[in-house]
Amino acid sequence: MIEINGLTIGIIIILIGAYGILTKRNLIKMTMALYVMNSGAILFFVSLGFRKNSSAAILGDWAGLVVDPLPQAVVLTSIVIGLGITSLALALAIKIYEEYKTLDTSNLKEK
Amino acid sequence: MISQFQFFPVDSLSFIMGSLALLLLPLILIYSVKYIRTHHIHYFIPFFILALGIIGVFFSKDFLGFFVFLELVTLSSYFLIIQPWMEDTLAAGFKYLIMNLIGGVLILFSVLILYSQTGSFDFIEISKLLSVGAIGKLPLISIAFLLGCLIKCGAIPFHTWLPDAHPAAPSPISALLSGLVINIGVYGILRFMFTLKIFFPVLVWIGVGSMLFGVILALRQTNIKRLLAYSSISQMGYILLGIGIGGGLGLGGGIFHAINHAVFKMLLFLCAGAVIYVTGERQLKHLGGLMTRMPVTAAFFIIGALSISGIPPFNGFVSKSIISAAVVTGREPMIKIAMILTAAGTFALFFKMFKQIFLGDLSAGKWNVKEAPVIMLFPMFLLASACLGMGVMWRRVLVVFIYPVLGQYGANTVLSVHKIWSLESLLHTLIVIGLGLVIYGVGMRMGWLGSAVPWIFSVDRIYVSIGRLIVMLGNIIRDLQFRSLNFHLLWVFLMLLLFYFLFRFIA
Amino acid sequence: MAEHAPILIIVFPLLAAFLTHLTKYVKLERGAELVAFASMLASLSVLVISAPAVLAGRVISYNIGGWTAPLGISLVLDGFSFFFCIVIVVIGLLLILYSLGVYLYARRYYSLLLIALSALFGIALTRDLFNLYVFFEILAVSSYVLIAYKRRPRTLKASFRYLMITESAWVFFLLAIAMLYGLTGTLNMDGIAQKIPMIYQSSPYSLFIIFSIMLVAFGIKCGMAPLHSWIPEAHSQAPTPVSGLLSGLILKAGIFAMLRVFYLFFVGVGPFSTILLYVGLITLLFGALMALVQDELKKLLAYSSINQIGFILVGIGIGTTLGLKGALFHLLNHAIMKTGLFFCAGIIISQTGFWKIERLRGVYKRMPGVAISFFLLSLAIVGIPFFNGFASKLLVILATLKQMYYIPGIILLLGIVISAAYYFKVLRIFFNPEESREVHDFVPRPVGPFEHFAVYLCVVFCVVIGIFPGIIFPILEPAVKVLLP
Repeated sequence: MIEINGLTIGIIIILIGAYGILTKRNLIKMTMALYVMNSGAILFFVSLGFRKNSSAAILGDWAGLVVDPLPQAVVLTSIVIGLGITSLALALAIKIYEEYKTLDTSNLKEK
Repeated sequence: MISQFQFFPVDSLSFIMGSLALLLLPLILIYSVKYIRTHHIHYFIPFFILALGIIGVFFSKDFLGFFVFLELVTLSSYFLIIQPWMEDTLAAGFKYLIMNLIGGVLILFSVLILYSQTGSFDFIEISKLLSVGAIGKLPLISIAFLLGCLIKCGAIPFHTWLPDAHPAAPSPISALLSGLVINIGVYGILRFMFTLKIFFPVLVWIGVGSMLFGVILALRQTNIKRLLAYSSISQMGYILLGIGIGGGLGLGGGIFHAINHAVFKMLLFLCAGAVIYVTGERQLKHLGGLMTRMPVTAAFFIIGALSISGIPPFNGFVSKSIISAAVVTGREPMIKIAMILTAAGTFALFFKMFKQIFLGDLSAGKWNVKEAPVIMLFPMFLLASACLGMGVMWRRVLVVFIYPVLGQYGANTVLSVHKIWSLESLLHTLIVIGLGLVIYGVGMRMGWLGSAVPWIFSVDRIYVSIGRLIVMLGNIIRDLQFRSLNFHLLWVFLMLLLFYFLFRFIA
Repeated sequence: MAEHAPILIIVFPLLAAFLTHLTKYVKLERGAELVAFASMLASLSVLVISAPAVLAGRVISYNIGGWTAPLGISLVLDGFSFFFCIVIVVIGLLLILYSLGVYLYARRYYSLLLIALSALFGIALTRDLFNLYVFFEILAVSSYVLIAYKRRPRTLKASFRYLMITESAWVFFLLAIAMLYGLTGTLNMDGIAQKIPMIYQSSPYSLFIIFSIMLVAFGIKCGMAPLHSWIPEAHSQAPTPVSGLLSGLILKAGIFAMLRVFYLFFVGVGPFSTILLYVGLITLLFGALMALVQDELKKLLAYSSINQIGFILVGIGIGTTLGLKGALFHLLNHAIMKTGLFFCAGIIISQTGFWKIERLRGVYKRMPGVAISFFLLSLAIVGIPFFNGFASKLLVILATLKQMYYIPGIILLLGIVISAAYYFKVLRIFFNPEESREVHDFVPRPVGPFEHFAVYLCVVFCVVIGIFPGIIFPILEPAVKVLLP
């Protein structure tokens, strides 16, 4: 029996994104799918640091049980990267739409 | 290791080949000065690189140098062959380049295996190691090297670049290709002799095949230079046969014939070049009656033709007699018959050529044809006198040039030379002449000697279709690529799975 | 100074990337270009200063913010990073030199280029796995924008395709980093490397997942065969210096990272090198066959890059010192040659406006210098003796044959012949004395001296390295020694 936790949900979200990226032909939808995949990876990463019944490693008593702070720091960076990439992809999609008047990849004929 | 190839070992094999190159190259250069009328820079820069390459090949001390200069020869002669930049010369040059690169690459393959086995490129060190018998993978090395050399010297199944490249090139370059460049293949085989011993029976039959098919194909040609090119294939057959039989007689005869072939084929190409230079014609049927207009060229042509047909007292006779003496000792009646047929065919071939170029009526529009310029006749004169001189003073040539090489290979240096001028060999010559005339007469009557070679016999077709197949494969793969973005994204996931399972199963 | 070298090398171009925008407020002719040039020269001088120590085998490590290895990010300048930094500096300077003539006052362009270069330095120097990921993403983002810089329709499409294919794999890379962190508890590469054998004992399958993800992620960057599909479009649609950046450095960054990560983590673990050998052969044949049937000049060059990458991958796959030496040497050579070829193609295309090879008949008469440079560079890339390609290909093939891989050796040699076929197909057209009507009629646009100078510089490099291959070995040998001590 697979335990339902952050890790498995992260993997599931990645697979949902992968499904989207493989089947959708709309540029915006593909971008969304990519972002979903990214979120899954981020959830996976941040769940690694999770420990039950522990507090954030920010202030106060460090002697008690704390979650691992490193994944959180790392994940912040990767969220920013994912955001940047998504916005760049959307900008490209808008530009492509302006040029081709369509967002469907199969209609992007040579021009 | 990469830039450290060395020169000047030099053993007597390098010496004779190198001195042949050094003597013949200036003649071609003199001839070219007049022959090349335009685009001097495009001609002479590759020419000097080619000269450097040929000399470098013969004088390099190790296999790496041999290969490097061989590539230089291939490339520079490519640029000389495509000289007029017409569609057909470009196609011929392309075929030349690709086939010779394949040959070169095979040589590199074997040389690098040899290096990885011995740790050395040096001829002498490798031959020392071989005498101890300390080299692995010898069959593979030898096959690759032999194949490479056979492609380079235009032996019969690999000859198809030769009849295309020679007519395409300017005449002095055809002379150079036929005289020196294809000799590089022979030189390679001689260099590698010590390991090739097991393949010598194969070499004999390749030689016989080249002799016969070369001359049969040559008989059917109508283009002067294409005809000479096929005859080169046939003469290469003699050389390979001689080397393949081995022993003092075979090896000596083969090397001697290589030298002789360089001299008389160069002479013939230069004569053809002179004819082309003054008339602008390459087709036999448009030529004729030039005897009165170009008597000197005609005389030189006769000398060359007699030499190549093996008529005494010219040099071709001597080397062919030595090879045939070697065949007799080898007791192979089939080879003997093939030799006689080839010699007769060669005689018929040059009889036909001489008759159609120099005898008969002058064709229309050729009334103002004059003798070729002196500067072109001079190299031809030197080559013709070499043909005669080497034929008459063959004993000296043998002693000075050939015996040291034979000594180097440990072959029997005392050739049974008395056979060369025997009654038997003269009778042999008469048979050849008679048979040649018969072949010519019958062939002309039946119309065999003018039609193009049927496509069905062409080996070329196989190579061309291999090339087409490769391009077709590329086209198929390219068409598979025109897919949506999703298809290409699918590859990412597929490769993830593929690598994972590969890892699981291999580890 | 030498102990701060790793950070300085990265910081100079990064700082300059932002300074280029400020040159707007300075009354200075070509301020952005000057800043770009100066920053690369500064990085180069730092490299030169640290060269004696690094080449002697010392490892210069630098901890960002003073935090030591397991906690902070450490940058390490060893022989291998040094080699790649040299490649980056040389190609970067060539790119900026070429750009001087093409992009006047384009601050944004130089800024993006410098960000890409600084990310490349980061990739070369970092020892933190996540940091590697970040630098790759910075590189990727700046290269997406650079490819789409001209905003033509096909350009945008190429950029989007590159983005989608790359990012879908690099999401998994993040996953792989997370898994490694979960398994080892550290992100420092050396720290991970120490624990890898232990993990291999306990949970080999997760290690295989990580390995295959990394192979795919780096494979996409370097153009491994079935993952290459972004390369031809991106290379042919990008502005010329960016094509040089892609082919010369970004593909090589994938190879560099692959070598770095795998030689740290996986070298004794699995048969990764054998897989890489066969993948390299497929890549090589694939690139060669595709290049043979291309009719656009820049696409042909792009597929030829895939062909040469195959060569490098085979060299890596052999896994011996000789193979690695050949692969790294070919990496450097190919970077120079292909950059030069793209420059030539860029000059020819920008002057005539034709992309198709067929329409460039007789280009030699109109621009002999560029055509001859193209000729020499293509001889170099085919691997004709006396050019640098010959030396490196010889090493790779020799390494292959030494390990008794005879069939792969034959395929490598076949690849050489096919590459000769397609390059000579181009040369036949370029040097044809009959000009096509289009070539005869075109009015040349002015081309400055910088483009030509950059091209000639590439040719000089090729010939000099080809005749004296020994001059590269002082930086090549320490690099190989780092990987295979």
